[in-house]
Amino acid sequence: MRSSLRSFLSRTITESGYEQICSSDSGFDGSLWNQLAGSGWLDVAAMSSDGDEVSAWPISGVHMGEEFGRALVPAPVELVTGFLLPVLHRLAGFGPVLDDSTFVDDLPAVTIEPALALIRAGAPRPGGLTVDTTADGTLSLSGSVPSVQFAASARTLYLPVSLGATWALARIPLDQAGVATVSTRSIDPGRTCATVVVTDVSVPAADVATTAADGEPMAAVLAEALRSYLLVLDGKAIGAAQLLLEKTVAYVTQRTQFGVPVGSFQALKHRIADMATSIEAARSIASYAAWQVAQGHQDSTEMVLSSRIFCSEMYRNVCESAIQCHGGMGFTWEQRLHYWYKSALFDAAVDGIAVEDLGRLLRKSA
Amino acid sequence: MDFALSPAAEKFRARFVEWLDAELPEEWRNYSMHGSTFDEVVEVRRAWGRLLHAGGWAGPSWPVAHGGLGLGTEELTAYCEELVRCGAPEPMNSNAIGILAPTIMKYGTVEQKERFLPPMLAHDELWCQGFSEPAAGSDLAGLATTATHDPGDGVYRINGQKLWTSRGQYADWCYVLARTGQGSKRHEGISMMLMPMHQPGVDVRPLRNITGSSEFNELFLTDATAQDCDVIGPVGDGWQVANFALSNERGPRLIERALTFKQEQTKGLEDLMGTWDDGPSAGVDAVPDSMVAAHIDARVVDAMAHRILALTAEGASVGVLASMSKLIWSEGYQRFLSALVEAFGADGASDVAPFAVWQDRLLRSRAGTIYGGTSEVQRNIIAKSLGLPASGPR
Ligand SMILES: Cc1cc2nc3c(=O)[nH]c(=O)nc-3n(C[C@H](O)[C@H](O)[C@H](O)COP(=O)(O)OP(=O)(O)OC[C@H]3O[C@@H](n4cnc5c(N)ncnc54)[C@H](O)[C@@H]3O)c2cc1C
Repeated sequence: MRSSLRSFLSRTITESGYEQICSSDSGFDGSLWNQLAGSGWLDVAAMSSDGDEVSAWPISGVHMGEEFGRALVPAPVELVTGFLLPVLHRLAGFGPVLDDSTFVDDLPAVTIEPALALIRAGAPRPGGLTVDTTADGTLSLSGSVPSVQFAASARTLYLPVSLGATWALARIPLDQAGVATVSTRSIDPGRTCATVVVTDVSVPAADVATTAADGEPMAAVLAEALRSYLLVLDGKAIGAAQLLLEKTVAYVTQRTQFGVPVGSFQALKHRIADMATSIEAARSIASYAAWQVAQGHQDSTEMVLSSRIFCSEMYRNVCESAIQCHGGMGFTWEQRLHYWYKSALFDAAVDGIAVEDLGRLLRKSA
Repeated sequence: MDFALSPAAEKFRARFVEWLDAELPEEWRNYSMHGSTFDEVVEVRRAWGRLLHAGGWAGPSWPVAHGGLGLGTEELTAYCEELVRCGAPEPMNSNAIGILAPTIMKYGTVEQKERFLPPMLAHDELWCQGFSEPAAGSDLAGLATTATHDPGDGVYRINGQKLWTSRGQYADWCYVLARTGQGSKRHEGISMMLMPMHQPGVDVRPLRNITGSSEFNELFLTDATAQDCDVIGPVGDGWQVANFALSNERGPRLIERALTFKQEQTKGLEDLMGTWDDGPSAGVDAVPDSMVAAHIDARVVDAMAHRILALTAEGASVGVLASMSKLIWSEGYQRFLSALVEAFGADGASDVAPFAVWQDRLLRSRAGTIYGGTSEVQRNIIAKSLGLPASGPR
């Protein structure tokens, strides 16, 4: 499964194609998106529930993420594969019909930020959004939702909202009066973001999901999808770091100084050994966490947070070591290492799980 | 990859727990060496080894034919988990049972197996390992101790100096590496042999370690003898025998170390919260970052140990993961202990419970990055496996 995904992605996303998208005004390419959305690859969560050669979700999600990270996809594939589709599969008749052309010509904008409060202990972060509920279940929204990936190119926003004691997922068309998207470039040129500003927008009850098809409350559905999304991000970090390790080994083997390959110097060898070791350590904790989630293990949230923090730091460190081992070459635009480094910085910052989040969870459970 | 244990392994676990509940004395639970002399520690560890043997629970990975339990990977995991959970002491002969015994089973003669394995498992004979020397540490092939064959008496006469011989002062036997001949390469002409410790040619001088306790020794060997029938494997080809022995040092112990790390990390956090002014429920709303990092590291080691066990159970090769997991464990465990002692503040330096126990653990943990191949040597092994070019003469 992984090798065919890998060859699909490498055919679909070329180096020059990636650069073109990054330097375009919108930072987004609709035809690339349609190829991805129409390929069926984004809906692996569904495959694993009935397919047999695919391992259980979210273990397969980690593997998907690894391929996304290698290829570095300039589209919200991790959010759609890891979060949105797993949620939509649990909600009957809500949102688009789920088939091979779901989201073709219909890029979804997804943010998980508000829902992080569900798995992150402590007070919810002050949000810029006020939500009023009317008796017939209509929501009225005002305020702003920051750092929504690719929102300026999307048609619909999927927004988790807290309704006090309960949670909901709201579906908000972006091309309506009262909605404005304000684009912001991020440090990651492959991830344009926007702040979505809403002014007295009402969302009819039909576009507000409060329970799963089987009656499970939305809070549980969202928390489950969050865990799988964070594991897909772990996979992304692992796959990307593995590629940078391969590039680094190749580079230090052919680059000579003082008459010998620079990779024969022990200072570099040990740094590269640490890259490899941290990647295998990350692979171990991410697959163990995914396995625990698949088993419904009671400590799985805490394991998922541990894994996210570890993989995120690993990704950044591996990028930094790769740059250092390439010397001046590592500092150039053309070597392309910076694209992964920037994605590592972006993933750690946006929707990132901080060490103190886990610190509060451990404090609370003590 | 499936990390779950089979129902058979869980059934095995239940039987072992039942025995432990009945037989493991209360004062040996959550055993700490701190506060006892090493003589006392040795007595406890030997008695525990005997008790396990008497109950039929010794030699978990030894084949049944040699008196062991013949456990598969999953049962072995359950076995280690339960011993760590109750904090049982380490059996005195565990180094020999885990490292020397598989080597005798692989390379030894029928007579050697019958002579040495039973008393080793029963803790009737204690063992030590005589590999390292003053000039042969990381570079083990630099060893200079000689063993000269005397066919008349049917013995080898051993001369030289061994270093860092753990538990040598209590041992009845030592498995020694010595030069029995000259090879064209440094790795050639080495043999591994079994040498009695109680003889005039063996002079054991204890060395104090970082905790002040004498647990390892120098051995001065002056015409010490070993029977020529007690060479393990081919004469002159001891290098491969020794490497096989050392490969047993890295793998199986990881799960024990991982579980111990996790357990101590939980306990350390409790002890730390106990020092917070108004007890655990006071104003502090988050565990300090360094302790969160330790929490994560402990889980990473645990995940690596389980991955290695799952691979082994599938019959797949573990390869360089053994070196990687040793690095991640030893360095993460040291970071945890050092951060914990620091987080205790001034209390951390005091000589009262529980702080003194943590200081002792911190000091002991420093050995983890030195024995069994130093961290630097592990990184060399990993770099080589990645295909990085050999170091030149520079
Ligand atoms: C608690 C403890 C118990 C022990 N018990 C036993 C025992 O029972 N029997 C026994 O035979 N031995 C035992 N040892 C010895 C142990 O195997 C050695 O200490 C170990 O192999 C390292 O050798 P060394 O101490 O001579 O250090 P050295 O090899 O001198 O190393 C010194 C420093 O140089 C570095 N170094 C060495 N070579 C390289 C290289 N190629 N590249 C980069 N850096 C390098 C090392 O990493 C280290 O930092 C024990 C050691 C300890 C700490």
